[in-house]
Amino acid sequence: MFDLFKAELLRFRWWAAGCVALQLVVLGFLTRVVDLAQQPLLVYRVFGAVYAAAGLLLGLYQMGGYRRPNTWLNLLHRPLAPSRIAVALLGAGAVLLAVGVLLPLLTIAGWQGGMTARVVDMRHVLLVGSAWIVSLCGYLVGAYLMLADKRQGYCAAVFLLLIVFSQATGFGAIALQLLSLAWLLAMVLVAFKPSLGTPARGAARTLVTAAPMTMTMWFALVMVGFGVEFLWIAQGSHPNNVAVPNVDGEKEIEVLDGKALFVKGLRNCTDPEAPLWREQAAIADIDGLFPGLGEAPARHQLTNIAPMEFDDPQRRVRWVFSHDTMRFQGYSLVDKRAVGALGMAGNAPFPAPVLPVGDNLLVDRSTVYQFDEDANLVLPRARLPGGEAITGYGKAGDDFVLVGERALYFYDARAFDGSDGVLEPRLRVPVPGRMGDVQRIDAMELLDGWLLSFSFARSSYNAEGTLPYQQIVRAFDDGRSVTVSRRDIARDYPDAWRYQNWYPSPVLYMVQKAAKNMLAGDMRPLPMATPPVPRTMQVLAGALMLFSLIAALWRVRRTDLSRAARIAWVLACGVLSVPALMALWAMYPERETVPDDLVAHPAMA
Amino acid sequence: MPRTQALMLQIATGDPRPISKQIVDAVRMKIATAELSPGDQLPSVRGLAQQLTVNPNTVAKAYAELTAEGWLESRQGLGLYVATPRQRLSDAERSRRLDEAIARFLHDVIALDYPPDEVQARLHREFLALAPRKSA
Amino acid sequence: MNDYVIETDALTKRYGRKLALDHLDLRIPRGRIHALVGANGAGKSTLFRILLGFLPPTAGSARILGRDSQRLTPEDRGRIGFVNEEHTLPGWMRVNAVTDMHRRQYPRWNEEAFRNVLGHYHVLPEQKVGQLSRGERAGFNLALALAQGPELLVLDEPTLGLDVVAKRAFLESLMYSNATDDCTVIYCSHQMEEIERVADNLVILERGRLMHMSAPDEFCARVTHWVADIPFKGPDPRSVPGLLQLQRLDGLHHYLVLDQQDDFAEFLRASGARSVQSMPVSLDRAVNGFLAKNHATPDAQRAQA
Repeated sequence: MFDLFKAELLRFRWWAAGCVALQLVVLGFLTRVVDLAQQPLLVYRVFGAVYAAAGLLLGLYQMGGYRRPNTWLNLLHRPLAPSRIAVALLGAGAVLLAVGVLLPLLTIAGWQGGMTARVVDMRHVLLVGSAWIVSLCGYLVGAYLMLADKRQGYCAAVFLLLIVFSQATGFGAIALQLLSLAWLLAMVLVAFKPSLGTPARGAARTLVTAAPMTMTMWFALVMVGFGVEFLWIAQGSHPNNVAVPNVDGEKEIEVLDGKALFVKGLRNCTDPEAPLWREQAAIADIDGLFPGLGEAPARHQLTNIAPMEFDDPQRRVRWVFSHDTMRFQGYSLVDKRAVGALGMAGNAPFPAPVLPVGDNLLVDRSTVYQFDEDANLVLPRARLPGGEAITGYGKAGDDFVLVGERALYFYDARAFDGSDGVLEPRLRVPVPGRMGDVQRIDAMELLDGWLLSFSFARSSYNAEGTLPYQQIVRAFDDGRSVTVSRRDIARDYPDAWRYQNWYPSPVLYMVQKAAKNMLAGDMRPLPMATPPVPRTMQVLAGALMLFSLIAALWRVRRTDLSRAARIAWVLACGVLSVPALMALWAMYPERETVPDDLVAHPAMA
Repeated sequence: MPRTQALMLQIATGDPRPISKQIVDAVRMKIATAELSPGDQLPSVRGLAQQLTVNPNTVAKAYAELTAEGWLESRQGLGLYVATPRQRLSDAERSRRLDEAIARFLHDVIALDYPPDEVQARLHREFLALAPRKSA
Repeated sequence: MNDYVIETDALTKRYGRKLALDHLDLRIPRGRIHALVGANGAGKSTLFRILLGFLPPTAGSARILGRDSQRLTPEDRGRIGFVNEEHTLPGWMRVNAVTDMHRRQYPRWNEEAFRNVLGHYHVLPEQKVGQLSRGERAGFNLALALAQGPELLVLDEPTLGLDVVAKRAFLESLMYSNATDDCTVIYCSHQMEEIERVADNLVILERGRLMHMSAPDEFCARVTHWVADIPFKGPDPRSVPGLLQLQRLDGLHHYLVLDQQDDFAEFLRASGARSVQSMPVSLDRAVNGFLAKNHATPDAQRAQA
């Protein structure tokens, strides 16, 4: 086994060396020009894609070369178990990728950490490790593509999708990638057998290969939905693209201006002051707010939402946030030398990672900080109670508003610029719904408070979001708030569209949702008031499950599966519905029969 | 001590006769024409097989047939030797075999439409050509 | 210890509408050299792939060295050697590296046999396998296979494309090195000249079925070539007993027939032959005729007959 491993390593040694050289040149150049540790997310995704592609190419080439019938026979016909042969070859690939990916990146990171004043945290080392893991995943996907039957080899790619769409962060992201890697390795080991392309035998092996296949089939159905949407747009009647949005509909919410929105919302208002408001709405200034901030950085996050650095133009210093020390580390822009650390209000470590957002403002999950240029201090200015996340901010009249997860907080804007300490909000208005559903908030100032229109229509086109409605709240300066009007917004999309990803397989829908949000910690998406699934959709899903069960019963009879396997597959199709049926169809071809008309002439001798 | 006598024979693969038969015929011919004398040692099975580039089993089969017919004898531990000529076959058996050979010969030759005298003359000439060696 | 090294039971393999193996019942006994003969498409490669577990059968079963062919363990594989015409070896490795790997993997490695066989070819240990000529690679491959000390050695057209010298060296190594003393050899070839020299047992496969199995000269004795002068059209080919091949040459009818005795002459005379002769045929001709019977003939030739 070791011989094979060594031979395979020697085989590709020049390629690996070339890769290292190329990367050192490219990365070396880049790192002189920019700080590779402080790039926005997109840059890291591109790098990740390149490394995954490199791994994929290695897997395709290596296993593609071995899988030709005569070469495969020569490789596997020896007194060495196939799994050991596989481990030797895959191990060589892993080492090659370690040399090709890890080595140059670690070198650059080490140089940056040791020889410059730039920040290099443990999370950056983890990021480099993650690059290697991602390239290994690509490698195993390529290997599986070559070794498995062509009707199902592509399903290994579902793990790459998982890594891309997952919300996991920091150590959680690493853990998720390692889990994907482990499963991919199991898949390749299952496929690595003398008779290539035949279905796996045994319950465990079948599960290892069938589960990703089923998930891929669900994803394929989602893609079908995309295709339908594309055609719908091309045809011209897609609600999002019609010239004039449906009256009182979801799309209209997006395009209406604040005044018109208020007028619509107040149409059926029975409050005595309503006519007054309607008049005011037609002429007053309306301020708009959105929960548009996105996520705040998480501790030990591998990548960056945006570069975690800001400049002090006065002193020509750049401050970069370090997750390890939880302080800003600075270096002079003039001579690139370290300048020291900047903590919270002096030298205290920040409780959570802080993202600079411009205008000398910095935010973490629930606190707004301000950089005082003259005093060279970062001071907390506003803190939402109970660790509530800040989801957006803006101006309303003379006030500065923080949009929290559960409520709006109004601050005196002049006090913001004037004083130094932590401000208390003037007014707190609870949101009459879930922030995840909020598409826009419009604010009209009244003499003794505010009139706020909340439009809950953000995710009303899919199964997660609440059914769309607009609710107008009257907030008094003394803290009371009263709902004065509520109107249901007309649905632009029918139920069948909303639930298109749910009814083909309710179970798989929930599985993928859980997988996406697994290990995400604070990066989970904002909560929404998901309505219960309507009865018609449940019936449809049930009908599809029943259909899949019956179709599976018919299909398994025409395959080579054992009795236990048949029962298992029929049950799986019943529970997992259409995607499982599609997987069954793809993975198990019809049993070959030998019809009489193919029998050749009888033997002579 | 008698050394192995060289066996100069060829086999042809396109020949209708199987290889073992070709070897048997050739050895018999050599013994009959005194190219091989009684007491000469024949090459080993493997040696002859390698010389002719054939399967050793084929040579073994030929040797076995020759030994069964009495042309060769096996000496324990030493190898195969040409046997001393003695009557291996009874008169009746000899006569029968001659009849068979004549029948085959005639069968092959009859369609050629030669006059019997010419055939006989040719036959006589060939016998004479072999005879001097036989007596030597 | 099983008596048969290869045992198949109604083994069938289907590719689309074609049957590569058609209910094949084959039993090859232990020991000796067995030649497997068949036209292209007779199913030999498919048979070996299935026997070594690299292809699942459509129906029937196959056993090799007494084990189920689809469930061979690494130990089983160590007892079976396989050499095919491509002599596939990793081209980027050096000869000594490949040899070392084999030496370590096979417990019964026979260094002397290896050197004896390899000595016939001009192969240097530090050469890369990809740099060897076809004949050198074949010799190296055979040396590796023999030195493994297999119980069963399967050779699928091993001398294809080799020059005369290399071919002879290959055959010599196969038949005269003591490496094959306890080994059953299965030798596939199209070349009758080789088969005739090498085979103890002749197995004929045609269209995925076993057509014949016996010693070569026994088979050869069954086929005879009759020449008849028939002035008229001659008997309907379908009525000729045991007919393998019919040719009309220079107005004479040439019949290649199987298992016909002297009474075939009576049949020919009864069909109007003025003169009849017969002669035995070479193995090459016999096998050729046997296999040609089931081959497609160009329409012109059929019309002529």
